[in-house]
Amino acid sequence: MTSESGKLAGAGVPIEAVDLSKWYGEVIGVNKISLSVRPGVTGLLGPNGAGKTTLLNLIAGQLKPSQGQVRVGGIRPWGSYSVHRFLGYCPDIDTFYRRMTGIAFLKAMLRLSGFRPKAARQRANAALETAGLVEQANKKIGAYSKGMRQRLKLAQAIAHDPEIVLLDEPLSGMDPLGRKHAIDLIRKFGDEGKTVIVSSHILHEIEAMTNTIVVMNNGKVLAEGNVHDVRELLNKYPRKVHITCDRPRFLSARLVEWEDVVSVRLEKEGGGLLIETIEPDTFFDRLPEVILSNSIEVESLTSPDDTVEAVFKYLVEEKRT
Amino acid sequence: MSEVATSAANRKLPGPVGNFVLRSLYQTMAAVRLTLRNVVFGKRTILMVLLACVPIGIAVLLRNVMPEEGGRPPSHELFTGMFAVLYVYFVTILVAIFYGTSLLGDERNDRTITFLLTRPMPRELIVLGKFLAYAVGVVALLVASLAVTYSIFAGMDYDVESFRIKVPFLMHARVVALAAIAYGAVFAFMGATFKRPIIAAFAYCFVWESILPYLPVFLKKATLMHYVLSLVPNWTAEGGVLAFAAEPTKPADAVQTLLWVCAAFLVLTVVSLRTKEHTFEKEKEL
Repeated sequence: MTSESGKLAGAGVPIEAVDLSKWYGEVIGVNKISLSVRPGVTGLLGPNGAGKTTLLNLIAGQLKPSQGQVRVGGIRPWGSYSVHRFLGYCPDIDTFYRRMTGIAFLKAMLRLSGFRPKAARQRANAALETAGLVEQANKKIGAYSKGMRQRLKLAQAIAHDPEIVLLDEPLSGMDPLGRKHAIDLIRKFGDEGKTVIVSSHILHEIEAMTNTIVVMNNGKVLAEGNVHDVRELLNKYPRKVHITCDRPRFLSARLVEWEDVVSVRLEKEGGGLLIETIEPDTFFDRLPEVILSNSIEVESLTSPDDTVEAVFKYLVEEKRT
Repeated sequence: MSEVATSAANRKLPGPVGNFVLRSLYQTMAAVRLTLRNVVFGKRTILMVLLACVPIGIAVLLRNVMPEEGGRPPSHELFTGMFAVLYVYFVTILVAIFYGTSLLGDERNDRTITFLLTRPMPRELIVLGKFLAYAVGVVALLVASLAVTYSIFAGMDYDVESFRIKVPFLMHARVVALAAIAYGAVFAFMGATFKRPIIAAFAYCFVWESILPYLPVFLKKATLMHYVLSLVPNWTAEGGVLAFAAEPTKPADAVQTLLWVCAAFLVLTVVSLRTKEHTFEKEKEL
């Protein structure tokens, strides 16, 4: 499936895992995962400790499967260096040769990849431009912010123009503008036909990049498919909303009248209300009006269910039923 | 990240070198450069330079505090004694330990090894490039230090020519270079394999090799020091507490053995790099 130049050829599945398991002694990292990843962006969603990094490390050939197998472009990545001709990996580690400048680091990585010095310089400059680090090119990495280091990691993963890109939590530590641009970049990779796996534990980050997701928890794939299916699944369960305000009794009396509100629970202390709604969108549309028209002072408004952990909880329950 | 220019732009740029041999050469040189930049020219080097200056300082001290009229031993004897004690047992070993273990040990501890292992580059070339950088850097440092010490001692002798004949510089430089290379390969393997390679390296040098004088003759040959000392000119004739009491190996055989040890441990380093999972504790805990 790979041509001599190292580019992927043919229309096979770029990444395929069959019964893939990895355990560290007693601890299971990845448990019998079977997965086919096709060109485009695939979001790997899971809470911390779900096994996302282990799975990416297995695909990148950094870990040896304990059982089963994974193939990248038809090649088993463990022990193979040639797979990295068409694979770019942005690990989640925040570590660098800190005394090097950004451009020197990229040039070094490209030279190690077999590029001539001139080509390495050109590609390093192009990657810095893509990652938005041109102005910081000659700055020591040690002086970079977390967001800049994330961009540099992204740049080293794409500098040799790989067909497959693995990005482990690439948005972590980036400022909102950086996030937006990184998301645009990742989407563009997908549009160009590259195979991109991007991991995150934040659902809306993944939603912004792709519709295709794989949900992991405890080393297993809980669900894979369209991100909207996950959203629909979420809507099958009442969404919890927590509000702290100055007149909780008054607000609760208003809210129980709403059809979408399943329950309202007053907390004994602190003026808190815990509401369950089956139509969160409608609920959030109507809530501001009630608050403003009755001059209620809201201290906080959170949705405990809007975390990725809640998604997994639902998915686990779904699997059980 | 302003305008997103991705692979469409990249494809117009030149690709990697097509010829395998030429590409390997470029990759090895890249590993040499990276290592020189980060290890040899790193912060540790200040300490290593100071260490290499210790024999120079002692030589200066000896020249100034031991007046010739006061029955100072001949300078060639002073140099020979000092060479074995300071260069062979002390400076070369310590420099080799600190640099050798750090070649891959630092990459593992700093986690930068992931960047190396995700390049389309054979592991052999990573080890070769790193070791070449080590060899160039360490041998240059040690031989430069030796040259300065040598000239101080030569200057203490009225007959410089006679000193040079009795104490051939190149023979001594060869001992230092071969010791650095052989020990360096052993420590590079330790750096690639053990979690705390410095402890393993110190245990090897200062426990195993320090009991050398008390070992049966056949076991003495299981130490690198045996072969290094076999190369020290006039060493066995000198005697003394630290002397190598057993019969030395022939210099040609000693050179060969040290080079074989070096090659064997570099191969083991490659095997370690290929077979070990260089992941991190955090990931192992998930």
